[in-house]
Amino acid sequence: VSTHPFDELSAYVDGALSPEAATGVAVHLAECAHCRAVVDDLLAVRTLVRSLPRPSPHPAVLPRTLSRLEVRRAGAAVIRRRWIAVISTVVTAAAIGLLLQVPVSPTPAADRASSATYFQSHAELTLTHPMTDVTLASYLSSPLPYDSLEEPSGVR
Amino acid sequence: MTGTLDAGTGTADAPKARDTFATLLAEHWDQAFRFACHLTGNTSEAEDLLQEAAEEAFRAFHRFQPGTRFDRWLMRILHNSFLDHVRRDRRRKLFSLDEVTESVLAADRSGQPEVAAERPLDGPVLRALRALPPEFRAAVVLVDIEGLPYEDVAQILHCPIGTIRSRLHRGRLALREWLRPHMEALKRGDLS
Repeated sequence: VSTHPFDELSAYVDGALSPEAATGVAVHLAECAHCRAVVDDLLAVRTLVRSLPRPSPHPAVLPRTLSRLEVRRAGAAVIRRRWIAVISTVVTAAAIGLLLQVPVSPTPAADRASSATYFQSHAELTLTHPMTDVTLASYLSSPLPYDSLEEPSGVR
Repeated sequence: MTGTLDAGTGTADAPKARDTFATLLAEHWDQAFRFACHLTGNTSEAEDLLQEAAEEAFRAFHRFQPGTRFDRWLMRILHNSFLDHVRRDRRRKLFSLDEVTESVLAADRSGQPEVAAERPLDGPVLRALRALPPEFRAAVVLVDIEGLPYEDVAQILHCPIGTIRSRLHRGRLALREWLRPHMEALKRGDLS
């Protein structure tokens, strides 16, 4: 007796094997009572399951589901329209701003350059001259040279 | 099913796509419901699941390719929704096949009329089917009750065809163990 084609028996019963594989199983079944019994059982199980009653949905469920789709769709359309309104407002505002050359960044370029220079020199100073607590305290208590950062109307 | 199906885009074709969807859904409604029933084990949960799957399918309908099988597509969405529920619902504990066997045999011995059955065997067969872990049950239901080819089942359950073959076989073997007394009656020709 050849090895039992155990895994193939269900597919054999369903006719889902390739012709070669099916022939192989058939040859085996001819000489193996054990596998024949399994095939019998599989057929019986399949018959039992196939003959179960077929439940039908309540007739109201499909119309209810379809009407809910309608509501969802309407809701989604409203939300979509709102988003489109918001986005188009923003885009229009940006376009007008571009046309009128409204300055988006209020800091003049020269000021930014001088404050960058100040911060760079400050960073270099603190790196090369580490401060003790005392010098740090006196440094912080003295007026800081933040002129370059000051607004024209700023109060010292 | 001609024309563009852009259910999600809200263009002028949307009402048409919605009608197409409604027609397809109605056509495959009963089959999807049966699958949902066997997945969930009762009709009210099945209705909820099916409704949820229909909404999900409608949202994704612009991705459905005309010319492919709508029923397979819907059933796949349905099965995915079911798996989401199973993962979310921690009360619904999943058992292995071996763990289930003993409890099924015990329930059968006690002979509780738990399922409203039309014929004497429906009760035990339904009970056994429902006791199968969901992945085995889905394969058995789709092949044996819905009569789908293995390829389609593999598509719906989103796994290789070899996996389907193995789940189906192991599922049937488990049912054989649980239903052995009834199968003898069937083979004698007492029923059927």
